[in-house]
Amino acid sequence: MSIQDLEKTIEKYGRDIFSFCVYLTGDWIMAEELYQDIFVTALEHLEDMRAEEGIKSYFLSIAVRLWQNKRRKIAWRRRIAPMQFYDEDFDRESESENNIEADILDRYISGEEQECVRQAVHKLKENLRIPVILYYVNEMTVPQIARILGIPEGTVKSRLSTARKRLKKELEDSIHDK
Amino acid sequence: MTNKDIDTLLHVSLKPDYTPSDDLNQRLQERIHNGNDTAVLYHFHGSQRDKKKKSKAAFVRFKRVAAIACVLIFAFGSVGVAGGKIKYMVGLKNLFRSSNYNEIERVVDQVGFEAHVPDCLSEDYVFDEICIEEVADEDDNGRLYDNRDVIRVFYKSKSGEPSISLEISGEDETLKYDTIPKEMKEENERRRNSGYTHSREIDGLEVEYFSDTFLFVPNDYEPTEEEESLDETDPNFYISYGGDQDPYYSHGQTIVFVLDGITYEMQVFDSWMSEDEFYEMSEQLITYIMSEK
Repeated sequence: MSIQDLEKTIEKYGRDIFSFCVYLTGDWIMAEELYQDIFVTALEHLEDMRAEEGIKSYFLSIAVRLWQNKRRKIAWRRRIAPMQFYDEDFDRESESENNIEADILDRYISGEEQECVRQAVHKLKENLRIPVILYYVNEMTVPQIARILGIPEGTVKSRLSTARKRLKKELEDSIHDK
Repeated sequence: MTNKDIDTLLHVSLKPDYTPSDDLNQRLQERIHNGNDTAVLYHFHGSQRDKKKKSKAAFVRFKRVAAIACVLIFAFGSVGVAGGKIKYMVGLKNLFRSSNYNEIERVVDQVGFEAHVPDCLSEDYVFDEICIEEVADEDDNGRLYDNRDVIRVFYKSKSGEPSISLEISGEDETLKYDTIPKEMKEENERRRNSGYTHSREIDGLEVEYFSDTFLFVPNDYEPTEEEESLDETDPNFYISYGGDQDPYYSHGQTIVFVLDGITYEMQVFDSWMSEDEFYEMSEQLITYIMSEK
């Protein structure tokens, strides 16, 4: 892959990958850091990379690896530069959904309820949260998630199932009460 | 709510709707076209957003410095300074970050004090990253004092041990305040006598070692009565706000010394390193600094 191919990849998948970073870190500044680091890390492996179908998965797997390495450093940064939760200040751009069912439901889900869902996802432990983000935000399949995380497909299914149960319990209380 | 409902709700609510800003894309382009130069200059949306939740998360750091200094602050009171009473040391911005060791000269120029940063702390710990962070003291009215830049350097372990953070401040943080509230004197004394705080003299410098327990919690966490009581009464226990996960405990080891008015503070979390090993590392650091002067 050339630098030009990398730039095209950023153009094509930048929004997807940046969204993953925001959901993963829950922090705008750290998401920006992680987003840059993913592509800078990729630069070191350009010769081995192919601009093909699995490239988005490849970048997401770099993101997961980098994030796991960063977590300990963040423990220090938190002490001195507190986290900014992403839901507070961000300008969101709404995007039309292709899925008609989702589009109809979307009209009935208020921004506040979406917020509840996002907050609930953010509260999940990381081993459950990452498969949920990859599955729902980035629309990765179970086999793709398994490859990204380096775990068996059965484990991905089980984590998604556990996450859904926990989210269901959390959301039944918070959304339906409103 | 059925399983299908929750699945649909997640599909609808979780969208990739965060777009990298033009500024971020510009910075990324610069990094890509500058080869191995991995320095990051932070461009914040404005200092106000950084100040929103600063207070509690910064608490731990200040409390520890207070204890080291035999001066200051907290749990039971605060120190009077011109204009108010200092309550927190807060982080305002990350100004710079680089994984290139050659950036150190630039960092030292930027902060304006003569810091000496080795490329390793021992055979196992090697340079990983250097940052500049802007910090300040905040009084009980929310006013900020003494904005200053500190250097933070991370060293990673070749053998997989947790990273070490080395923070360098251009001030002698331990002599910052000239008022010593009685309550803090007493707390500091308790801490010193707790068995988890020791000091040794190395090359004529007093080097202090702290072994502390941290409970990392989210910003909205309500501590239990027991935790609150521990935070107030146990000089080696800290509740640290700002986490994004369930509460978890961490064991922190800290070494602090002041050399030529510059405060050096090394810290590691959840390491198997012994107190003696940590002291040996600080001795190597002191030897390095002396040789560079």
